[in-house]
Amino acid sequence: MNKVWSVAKKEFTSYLYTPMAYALMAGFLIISGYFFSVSVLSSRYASISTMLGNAGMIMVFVAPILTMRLLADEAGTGTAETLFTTPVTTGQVVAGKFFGAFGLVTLMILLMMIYPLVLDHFGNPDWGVALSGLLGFWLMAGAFLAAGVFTSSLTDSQLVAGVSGVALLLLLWVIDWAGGALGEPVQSIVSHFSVTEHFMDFNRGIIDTQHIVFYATMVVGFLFLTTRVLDSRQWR
Amino acid sequence: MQTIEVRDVTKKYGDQVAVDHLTFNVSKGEILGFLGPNGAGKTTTMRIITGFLPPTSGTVHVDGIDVLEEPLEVKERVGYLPQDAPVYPEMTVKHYLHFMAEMKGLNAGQIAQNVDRAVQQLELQPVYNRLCGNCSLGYRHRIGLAATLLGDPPILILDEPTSGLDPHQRIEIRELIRGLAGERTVILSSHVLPEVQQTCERVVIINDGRLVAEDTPSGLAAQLTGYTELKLSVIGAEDVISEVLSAIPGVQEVVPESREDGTATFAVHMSPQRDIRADVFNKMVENDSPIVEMTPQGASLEDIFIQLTTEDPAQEPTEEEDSDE
Repeated sequence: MNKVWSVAKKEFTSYLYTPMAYALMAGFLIISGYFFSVSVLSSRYASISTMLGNAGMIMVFVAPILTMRLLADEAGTGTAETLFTTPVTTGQVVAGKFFGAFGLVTLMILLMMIYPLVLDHFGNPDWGVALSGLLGFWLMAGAFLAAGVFTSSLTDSQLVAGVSGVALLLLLWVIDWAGGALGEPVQSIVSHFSVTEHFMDFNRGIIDTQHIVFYATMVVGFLFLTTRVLDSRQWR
Repeated sequence: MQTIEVRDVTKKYGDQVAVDHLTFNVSKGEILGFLGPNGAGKTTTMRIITGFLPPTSGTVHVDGIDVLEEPLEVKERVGYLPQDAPVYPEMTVKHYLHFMAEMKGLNAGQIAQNVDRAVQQLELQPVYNRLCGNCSLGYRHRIGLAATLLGDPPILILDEPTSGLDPHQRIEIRELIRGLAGERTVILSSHVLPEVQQTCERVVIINDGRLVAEDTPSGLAAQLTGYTELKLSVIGAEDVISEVLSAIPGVQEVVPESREDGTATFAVHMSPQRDIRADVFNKMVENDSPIVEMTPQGASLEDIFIQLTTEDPAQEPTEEEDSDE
């Protein structure tokens, strides 16, 4: 557990030493700020639900860009050799990498608290709905990061890892469209796998364990697949 | 007591055989030089010993522990410096060393102590707070070596620890490695041959993944050439002197090398059992031919290496063998 923490700490501080993380955070907050202003000014509702729904789409791009270097870079620069010849398990490394990135996203989401605070200053927002929406957003972002960590383990190239991460998440984002086109029973099966579907309830102020379990399963599943990929990989 | 036992190890990448039924041992406290041309399988072998790569077949035991069965136990005992000493460019030297110490499972007190000592040993104070990516190659090698030494592993495996360094830095690293020996077992790969000759007690030479020789550097020289060479320059007529020299007991062959301004130079091959230098001196005095130079030439590791790793020993080594991977 100590080593998971060490890896997480290392990845988190590495983000703070590179301009990429700042650029991503700034870009994400500018765009979500834009969504926030536009939705509040046009609808006149003191709510962040619309903004969160749209920001989820931005997260589809932000998460893989954050995670793309985590494992691909280790393989690409040869540091994997140094890291994996210390007495550390693949699982510890993978979990640490995930929590490092999750730490940064958590910081980003804490900064998003500014939106309900602004609403509170000028109006009377429903704090329950806002907080449950942010909780859902946080869990969804975690699932996205785990998927990004997974694609990062498949290649030596950051670029390939990032692009395939975005592709994988876009697919999960739109998977319920297939349900709409094909009707039942496909619709209900597919909607179980839709990352947006599970987020909707949080954004309406409903915290359902079923949805928490869904995102947690996604995280654990992708991280497990990542360790399998790394263990079976022929490092060269 | 064998610390590292490599038994019949084979590694294939697809159809390509990188290591072919390799077997050798390293005893406790020994410094073993691991030699071979580029692409011979040195790095692959080291990766297998450190548990980074699984072998296709065969076993590796470190302190009696099977690397495949208990990789973590082995990794706790081995400090490994990969080729080119990869470090995280976006970490400071301080963070990097602390991180590696944590990965080795040291507790907070040990970390501070170990990092301090490694920084002193490798003189990293000037770059301690700099980003690894902004350090020169020489420093990066030293950072890598410092990280390898953290936690005092009893076994060190160093893959070309001096490649890419300037001569001054090479000497420093070499001194350091020699200083570490005694208490520790060291495997050191290199294609800088004089370095191995100076640092290592025993040499394993591999070529195309196979073991081609295993002995002390001087043992290899004697075993391989079967004679010792004497370089001799004498003032006088070449043919006369050549004849006189050939008559001396113990001389196997006299090879004329050059002649200028009445001085003839020869390579005299003599049997290793008999020192003929006094006889040569006396004969030359009798013959009234002053000796201007007489130097015994031991076969260098370089000659042995080329002879063992060239497919056809009669053929001169080609340029490709020196080129990088």
